Amino acid sequence: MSLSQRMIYLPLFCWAPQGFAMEPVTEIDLYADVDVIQTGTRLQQPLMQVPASVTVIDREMIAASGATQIPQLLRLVPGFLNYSVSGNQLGVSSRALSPDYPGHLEVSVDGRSVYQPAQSTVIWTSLGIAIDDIDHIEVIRGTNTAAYGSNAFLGAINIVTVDPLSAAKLSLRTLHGSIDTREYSGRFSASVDDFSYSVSFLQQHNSGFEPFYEPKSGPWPTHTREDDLNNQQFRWQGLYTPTLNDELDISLGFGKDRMQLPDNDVRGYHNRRLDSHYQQLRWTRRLDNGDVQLSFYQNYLHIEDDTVLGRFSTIVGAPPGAFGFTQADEVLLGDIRDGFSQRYHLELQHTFNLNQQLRMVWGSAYRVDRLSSQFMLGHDDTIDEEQYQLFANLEWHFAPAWRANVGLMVERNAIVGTFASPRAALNYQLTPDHMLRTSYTAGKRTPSLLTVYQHTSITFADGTLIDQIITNTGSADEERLNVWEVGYLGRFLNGDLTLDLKIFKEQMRDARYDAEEIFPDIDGDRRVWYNGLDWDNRGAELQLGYRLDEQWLLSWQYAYIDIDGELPDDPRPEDIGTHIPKHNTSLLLAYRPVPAWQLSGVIYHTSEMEWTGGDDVDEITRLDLRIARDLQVADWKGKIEFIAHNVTDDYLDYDEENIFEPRFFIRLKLAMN
Amino acid sequence: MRVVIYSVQRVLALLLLLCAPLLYAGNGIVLLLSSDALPYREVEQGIRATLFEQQSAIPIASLTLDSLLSEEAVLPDDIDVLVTIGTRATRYALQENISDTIYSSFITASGLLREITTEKGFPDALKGAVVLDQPAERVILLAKLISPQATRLGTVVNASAPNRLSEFKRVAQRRGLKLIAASLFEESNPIADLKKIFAKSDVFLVIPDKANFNSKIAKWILFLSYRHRVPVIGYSKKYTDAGALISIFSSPLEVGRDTGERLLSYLSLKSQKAPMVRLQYPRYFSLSINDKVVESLGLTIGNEAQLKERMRQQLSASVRDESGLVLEVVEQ
Repeated sequence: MSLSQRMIYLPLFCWAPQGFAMEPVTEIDLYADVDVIQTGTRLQQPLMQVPASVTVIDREMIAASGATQIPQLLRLVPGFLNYSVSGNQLGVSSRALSPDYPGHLEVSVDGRSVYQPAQSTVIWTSLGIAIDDIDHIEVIRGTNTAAYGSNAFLGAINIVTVDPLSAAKLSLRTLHGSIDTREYSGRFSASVDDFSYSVSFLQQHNSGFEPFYEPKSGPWPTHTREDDLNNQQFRWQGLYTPTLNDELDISLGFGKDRMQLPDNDVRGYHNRRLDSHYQQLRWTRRLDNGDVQLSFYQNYLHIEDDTVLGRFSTIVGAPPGAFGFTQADEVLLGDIRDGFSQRYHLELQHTFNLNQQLRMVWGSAYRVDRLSSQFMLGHDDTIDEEQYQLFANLEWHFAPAWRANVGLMVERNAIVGTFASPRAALNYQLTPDHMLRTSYTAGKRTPSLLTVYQHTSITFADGTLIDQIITNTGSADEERLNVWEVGYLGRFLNGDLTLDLKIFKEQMRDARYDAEEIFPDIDGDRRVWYNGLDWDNRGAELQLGYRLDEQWLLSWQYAYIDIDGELPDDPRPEDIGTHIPKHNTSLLLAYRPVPAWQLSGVIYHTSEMEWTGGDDVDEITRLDLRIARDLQVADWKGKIEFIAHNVTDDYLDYDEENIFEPRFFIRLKLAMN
Repeated sequence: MRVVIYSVQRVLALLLLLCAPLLYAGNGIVLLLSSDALPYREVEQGIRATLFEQQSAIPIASLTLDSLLSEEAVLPDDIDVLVTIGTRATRYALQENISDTIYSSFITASGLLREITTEKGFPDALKGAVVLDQPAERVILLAKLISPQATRLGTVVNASAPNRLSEFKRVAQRRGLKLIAASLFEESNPIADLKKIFAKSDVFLVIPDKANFNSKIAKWILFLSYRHRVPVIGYSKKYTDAGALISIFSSPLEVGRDTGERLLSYLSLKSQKAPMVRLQYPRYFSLSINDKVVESLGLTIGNEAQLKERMRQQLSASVRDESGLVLEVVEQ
């Protein structure tokens, strides 16, 4: 054909000034996924391609659940437990023991780990966000050390907050109800030139569980337990896109958390003051063939307790000089008093396509955890732990229906040296709507700073020991976990019904635990941190989501777990077979009879168990109900909700003193665009 | 009785197909798939189903590009048409001159134009194509139907890649609408540009373009849509699932079905020396609505079937767009 024929094409397409500076759109682009999960492997993958079992709690489920605290939402994840150590000290655990400070889950907010080295746990009241700030929550059910390292030993939770771009210009919320609950939160979103930002605040108060009078026990005095919370959190979030391929996300926050906590080591309760702040910066550069992400964050938490145990003579019920002590009758102080923990984390991540079949993400991170507390460590020095991470995940789409994922995390620190956590997974796509998956992970976890260095005592002012509460052996090994999983994910009825099934086997080896030992102090014993707790888990999980139509929504979660292990305690080992409930289920049902109204309810059921740090409890069935009415007042749109938690019988939440009675709330939300 | 007639018809069709190699004078069709992935297989399935339904006697075979490159499969000699499915297969067939009669399918118009705009000149072997893009007429009519009061449409394109902005502007103008577009350059601030567009738009169109395949931009478009309460028309079911009000697209099966019909038409005209090379939009298309977005925007747009029927009526009453003619190359 001649040149004149070819010229016919030219007016029909608007050619770029630079010609083909970029590759044109292909059929692969057109059929690519838009909505993806990133928490599984760090690669952006649609649910059908993730090599792990994932639960996504979206805004609709969050609203329908009637949850008033963020950890309550995690009851909608198969196998996850949410409990109250006290009124406002909340715990979340999955397939592991349930101590006062559970620490085997990685919890992050927009990619920033909120794990606190000071207590080896997550302080849920200090996250800096309200429930309404959450866009969705991605939960990896099972170990994810190959992608996120030690903290994700038994799972990873990433809370994704509402983006400043999508947030309403101004939103205000208030929650009032039982246990003197008074909560106010709000968010303002705007732009200055090309910079989008949100400012949000949260003010919370409640009185926790009913006050409880504890009689004198052993050397410790009588007291009335209270567990109030007064919490203020402030957050600023910014988004800047200087060029087509660059994105800068900035987040800053600070909080003042005041609560009363019962103390399990020293009888009594203390007023705890938590002052926290964080800064997070993430720069993402999109490349022709992937992207590069550089991120940095700093978390700081200052803890101050004012536990006054009382005079020695009053506490022990004996005159000064008893038990061979020669000191004067001093006023004894207990607990943390003045400590802090801090984390710096710097990370570089590169994602790219090797070819049409191979995608890879790799990167490196440098982290410093700092801890200082005279009471917890037995000295005033600050402990610094440096940690290096090198990670990679390769996704190989080697045949149309087959996809393999190989991931590796190598970590190094001074506590246990260098250790690696690999994962190999295979996904088989039976049809576009049905997928089978199998994986093996050998996870490793460095013991937390606190369990390695903790040395807590009650002493006289001159340092003379009265009671050794807990100490360490001076050495620690990594905890090890082998996990085998087989899963199925299916979509039916045009995607309206989804079914996620999983069976798994886990072998935990050398987990840290604190064993009781005879010790010549005032109460004759102390606890010591060791490696050596082993257990085997076998179980199955089911998750079913069904959207019948615009009126009905159903979400059912169920987990069966059989744990076999012994706590090698002195004088004889303790069977931990009851430390995880065998059956754990939740069923959420929401119905919208007319567009402006929604009725919803959630039933939770947990079979009998013994909380590791708490008490034996019978099976629990809890029913939460909610009625919501949409509002429109001038330019304001809103919602009023009537929420009832546990409308059936009272139950014991973790501890026999934590009697969870029916609670009733009213929540009002208003938003203006 | 009707069942009996139907059954006899099916049996005859099957017999015809089985005897095809005996009845058909030519050497048949070979489908060259870019890969063994499901969408390409669905296009193949659509083509085969059409030939079967039309009781075609033409022999049909298929192979993947990978099997051809690894020499596990061999391209038969003297075939009537080589149908390339997808960009890779089309590129290979045109660059390597493996057939003198190529029909391309399941490729974007910009992808195909890139392959045929070469220093060697227009490839004589290319006899026609069914592209994946939706005609501007169809998309803009959909915008008009979901928002009858709309006067301004917004979109964004990547200035550094080929795009269809002028075509969409022309069609919008013909429909009495104004299309406002942001052209994103390397140094552009995408959110700032998108905000300006959303502030002025009644409906936002996501035209398949490299700008819109940036996952971040897709996310921001959906965020701003929510913030400004402007409905978004996407280009795939997955875009709808992610938060667009509605998407318009042709599924691989629909593209295959269309390709099959056009192949038969081409082969019947081949003996009369076909006068032109036609690159065509897909005749069949689907809509997918996100009911949650419909509800949140307080719209009443009907369901997919109702909308599609209204589109068919209006398209046939106005422009003969269903043939989806992108361009013609006329023999001199």
